[in-house]
Amino acid sequence: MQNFDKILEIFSDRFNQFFPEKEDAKVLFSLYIKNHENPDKLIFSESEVRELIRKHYKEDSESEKEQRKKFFDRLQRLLSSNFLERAEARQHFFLSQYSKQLCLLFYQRIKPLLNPSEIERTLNDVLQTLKTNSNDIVSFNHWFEKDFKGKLETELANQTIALEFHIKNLRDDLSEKSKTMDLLEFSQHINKEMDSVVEQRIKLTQAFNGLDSISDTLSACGLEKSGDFDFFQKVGILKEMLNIYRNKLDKGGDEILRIKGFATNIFDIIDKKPFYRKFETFFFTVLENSRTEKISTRHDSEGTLFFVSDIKLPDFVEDLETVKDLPTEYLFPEFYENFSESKNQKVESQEKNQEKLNEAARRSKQRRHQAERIEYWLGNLKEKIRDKKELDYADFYLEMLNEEQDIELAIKGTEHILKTLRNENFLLEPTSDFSFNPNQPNNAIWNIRIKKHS
Amino acid sequence: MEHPNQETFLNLSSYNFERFAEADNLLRSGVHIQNHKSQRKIFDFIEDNINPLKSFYERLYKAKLYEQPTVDNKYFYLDATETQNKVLNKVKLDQPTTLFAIFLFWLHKVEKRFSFHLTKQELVEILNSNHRIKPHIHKLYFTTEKEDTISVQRTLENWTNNSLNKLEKLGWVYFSEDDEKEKFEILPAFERIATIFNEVIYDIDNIKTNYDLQNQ
Repeated sequence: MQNFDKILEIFSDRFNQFFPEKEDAKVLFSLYIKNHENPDKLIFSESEVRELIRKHYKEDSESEKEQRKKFFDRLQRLLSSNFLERAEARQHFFLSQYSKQLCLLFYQRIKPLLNPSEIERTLNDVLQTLKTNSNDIVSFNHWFEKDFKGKLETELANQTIALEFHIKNLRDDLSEKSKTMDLLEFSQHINKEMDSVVEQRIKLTQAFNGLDSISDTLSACGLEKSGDFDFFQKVGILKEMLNIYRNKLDKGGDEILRIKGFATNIFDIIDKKPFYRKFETFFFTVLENSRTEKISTRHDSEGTLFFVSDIKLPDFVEDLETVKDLPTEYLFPEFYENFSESKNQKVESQEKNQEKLNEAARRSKQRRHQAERIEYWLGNLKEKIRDKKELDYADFYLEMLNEEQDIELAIKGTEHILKTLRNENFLLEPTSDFSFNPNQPNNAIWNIRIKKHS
Repeated sequence: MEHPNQETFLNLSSYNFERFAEADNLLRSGVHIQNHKSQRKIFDFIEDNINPLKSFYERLYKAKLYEQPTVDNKYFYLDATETQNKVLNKVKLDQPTTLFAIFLFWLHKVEKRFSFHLTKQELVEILNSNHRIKPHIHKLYFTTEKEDTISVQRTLENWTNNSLNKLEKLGWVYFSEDDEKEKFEILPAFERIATIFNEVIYDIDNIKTNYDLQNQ
């Protein structure tokens, strides 16, 4: 098994509460692996156990007598704690059923060790239970101990350890392979291995991003307003723990970058380095000498606002031309009569096309109407604030919503209006209070004070 | 197959001739065909019938079916042999997409040599954070360097989406079907970018010097 020492570390850390000493855990798991690799090997001699104890306790400097005494003490401890049992043959031992179960539990987790989707699943479960337990402090404390610490934190710890383990494996593997493989073979190997680690890390990051929902749920729960000291203390601990694991994940990312940098240098030696260096110069020369003919105003497309630029590349960049020949009739239609219909040819009925056109026209009309109304409300707001020092946007929002009866318009309008005001140097001060319309209880808005810039 | 004048002008292999219609449609749509899982059957068909197909396109379309080698295989594409080809239409890739294609090739070959797959999000992040690229891109799209606002993000996403869709139609990138068009793969035929700009690339040091002098 590769990186066995690292695995032993993980095992002993994970189960340290079960064993008197971490080293005991290492001894037992080593015996288990010996048994796993050679299923006939169930019984171990005293000298085999002694060798493992000596190896993991690392006490070579002691005298033979002292070592022997300690060995018997430790062996006795493993026997009395029922981790080891005596075999029929004299001075021989075997792993107890209890030890085997413990080791098996861990062993089964080694292969799929890195499994970001497990975090997501656990996170979903824990979030569900948080929602039902965040109304009173007793339920919340129970959730904190059982679900957060018992489930989610364990899973986060597992996965960050697994990522470290994965990266270490990669480094060791690359160091080893670089000794035997030729450069081309080695570079291909690097490509394959790096992709896997990078992908795992990205998935893990995505899974970690979901942790924000815990903080969001906590901020929105009833206890947040109760001022309960115990609650705030626990939330503080929770946030601190999440930060610890986020930092570990970041460290993993840095480590991957370092390996990547190292690997890139090796690859450059054998690849078309000069050509790609020139290509790089080409790219940056194009970039530096490109210009914009005009930047059109923002286009409103399905609720997204973006700029469109008419980019003109420098003259030395020739046009990139490709054939594009899709005639309505093929030159020799008889050719195609006996051939299968192309997958690229979509056959759509006239009615369906008409439906799509109608829907597109309806959406376009709706967008135009919304844009006009938003401009109207912006003007209306500016009118209102002209004679006042400040204005509460929430009241204005509810007025707009009541009159228009269109939540989409109200939200889009709010985004546009607040951006415009910010650009025009109005001061926008959000508060922690919110308002809502009793007719639309699911739609609330934070109270935002709009002030003229002094 | 015989033309009404009884001349036999396309002898295809008997075991996969039925792929002709699709292959022809793709080639004349400007798609590059390579030995990738998404195009394997068409690639095999073209490879098996390369000579009759070359002759077919030369005689009927005044076009050449190119066979371009890559590191480990090859790709095919169709191009007109004459500048003024009345039978076969050609289109120019718009300049923002051309710039994006050059950026992507640089990213793939220089910066991200160890990633066969990229995501749109990754590209937007690089465009919006790489200190060598960001100032130029922001100058082109927003006149000056801007804060990372939603509209900045969406502008870059929009450019990335549009460009990738066009490159996908040329058979230069491939979106994994199960990934909601977020993760994509650079296909071997994307090497054509380097081939097209080959001469300029080799002469880039002189070109750059001239431009730098002009700009002084």
